Amino acid sequence: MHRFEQIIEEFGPALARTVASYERNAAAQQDLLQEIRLALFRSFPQLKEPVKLRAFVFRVAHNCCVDHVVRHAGKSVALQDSAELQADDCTPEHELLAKERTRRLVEAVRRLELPYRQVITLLLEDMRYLEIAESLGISVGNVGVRVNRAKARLKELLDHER
Amino acid sequence: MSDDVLDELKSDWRGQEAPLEVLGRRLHRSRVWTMLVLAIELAMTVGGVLAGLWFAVVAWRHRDPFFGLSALTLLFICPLFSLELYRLRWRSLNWADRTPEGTLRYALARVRLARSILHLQTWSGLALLLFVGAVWGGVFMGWISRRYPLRTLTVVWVLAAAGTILWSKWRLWGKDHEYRTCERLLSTFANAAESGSE
Repeated sequence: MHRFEQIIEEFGPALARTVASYERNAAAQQDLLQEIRLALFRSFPQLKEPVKLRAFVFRVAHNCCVDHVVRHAGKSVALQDSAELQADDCTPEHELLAKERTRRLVEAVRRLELPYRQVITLLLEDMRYLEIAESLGISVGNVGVRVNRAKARLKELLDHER
Repeated sequence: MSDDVLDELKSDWRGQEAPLEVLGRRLHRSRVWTMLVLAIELAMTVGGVLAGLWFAVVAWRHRDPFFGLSALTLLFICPLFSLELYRLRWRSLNWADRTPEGTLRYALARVRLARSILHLQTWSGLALLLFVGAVWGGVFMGWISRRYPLRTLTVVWVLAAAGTILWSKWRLWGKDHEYRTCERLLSTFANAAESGSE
């Protein structure tokens, strides 16, 4: 399998989660995912250090997402789409509870301001501070500051939702 | 929020699903709308340029400066649509070289340029309306002959001018929204960059 396809397969679910933190509308999520794939395909030759692949992929993804937010600034957000994505009448109770927790978390993450949303999504994808710093082009110290603020704000939002 | 809590949240975060069949159904509608907007933009550009070229041919054949001026006006206005179209559809190839803030600054510059082009388009439309007014003023004063098919030409000019102005205003409304979003997001990044005591 081609290296690029392997990367898309490996990071596909993480990229979908990243996109979902920026965009509620299901169709727009798919468009954005395709844009990210295209951007990754075009940017791939610029990857100089393969060990920094994760930081590279998330950097491209977040830059595409930021650009998407600006370009779709005037468009309304379809809240029902997110509900539709979660709908599943035959799910057992524990799965429903897990889905509800996931829904609340995603909703809270979406309400974070962009700089905090970015660090928290990267942190939730198991990235280390150094990788986050490389992804976002900021210092490790600034990552720490943003992470602390993001955690406090996320806690507020999750407590408020309960 | 402790790291233990964050570790718990990771499993919730990964519980997200991306049901592609739902996404696929909705994708079609957004694509149709995007294609429609693109088709309108292209039709306006091509239609305007063709009309301008036709006027230019008539002006050349009959050595008529009046048609020549009309051709120049249309050929000046219509390519602006393409220029704006090109700018807006252009996608950067350098995503990997930028930071999110850099992306926002780039977007801000892109929006500024698009707004300048759209303002120019609006002024072009207004200039065309002024031109029509001047032509009819000349007719009433007896400086321009009534042998020209003025009524037909006036319809073409006014439609082109009105279309240009309305289209530019509509796009400007969207660009203004993008501009405000860029500024607001950049201010959030500026706040986040301030080192705190956390």
